[in-house]
Amino acid sequence: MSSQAVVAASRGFICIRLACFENPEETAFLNELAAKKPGKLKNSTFALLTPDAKTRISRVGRTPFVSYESDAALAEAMQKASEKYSEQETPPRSVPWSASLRLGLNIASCDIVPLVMVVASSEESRNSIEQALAPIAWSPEFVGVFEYARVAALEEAKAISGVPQGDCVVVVEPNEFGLAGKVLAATTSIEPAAIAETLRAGRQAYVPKGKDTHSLIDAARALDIRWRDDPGPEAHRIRRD
Amino acid sequence: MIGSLVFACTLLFQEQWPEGRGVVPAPTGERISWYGTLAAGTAEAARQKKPIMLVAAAPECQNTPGVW
Repeated sequence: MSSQAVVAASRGFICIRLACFENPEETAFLNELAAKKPGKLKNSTFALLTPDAKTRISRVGRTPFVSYESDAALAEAMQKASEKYSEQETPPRSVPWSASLRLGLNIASCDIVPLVMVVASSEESRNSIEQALAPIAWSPEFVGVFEYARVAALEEAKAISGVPQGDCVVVVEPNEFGLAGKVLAATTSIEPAAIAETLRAGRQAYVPKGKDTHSLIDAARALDIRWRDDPGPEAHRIRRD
Repeated sequence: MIGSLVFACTLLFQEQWPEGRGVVPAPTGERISWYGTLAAGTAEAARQKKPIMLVAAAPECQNTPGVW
């Protein structure tokens, strides 16, 4: 998925990445799409779908390589598929939010990228910030650079250190487990130029560090750190294979 | 006794974790931009009339967060 040909082809698609066992409705959708037996969803799924999400363009499998022998073959198939739908360009209007700060922080750590977090205490503020942020998030300079998450109050962002008071846009460096983070750059302005400058500063301050999965697992065991699927009341309904 | 235990654990983990496997390099180049929810992604796909690339994965490995 990190092949530059696939990344280029992905711009003709809406790319959706779900966390398998976090949301009962999404898990039900994935079960219907991909599980060979009801309730036996594996922990990875790949599919290309029509814009209404009802028809498969590719075979559904655990990885793209069930259908395509290489990144180049996948990129070519994606390019051909998207050409059928590219009659007119419609600018993106929404920020590609993570489902929650908790997931966004973890996924940013998994991907080794910084997280943009928005604190917006009212619908009006949220709309104003999103209106300013969406074109920046999809601009050639920033597309694919960050994960995005939003919260309605500072209290929801206790895992992040250095968040300013009030509504704001901040760039966060997640820790190695994606359970906490620190602010690298922040603005309380909703002016697009100020937000873009903050993202630029955060990106510059972020130093990506590769990971050794096995060392991380060993460290997590030593520290008794465990990821738990969404702890909400409905989480018990989701069972992994 | 403790020395023997440490030695045994070292051998065990060497067996479990072959050197060089599981290394995740820092990303380089451009990346895919992902919607993190089905509702937002499908709404945007319908609005832009673009096809969907759907991926699902668990953001943990052996219950350890921070790695796919």
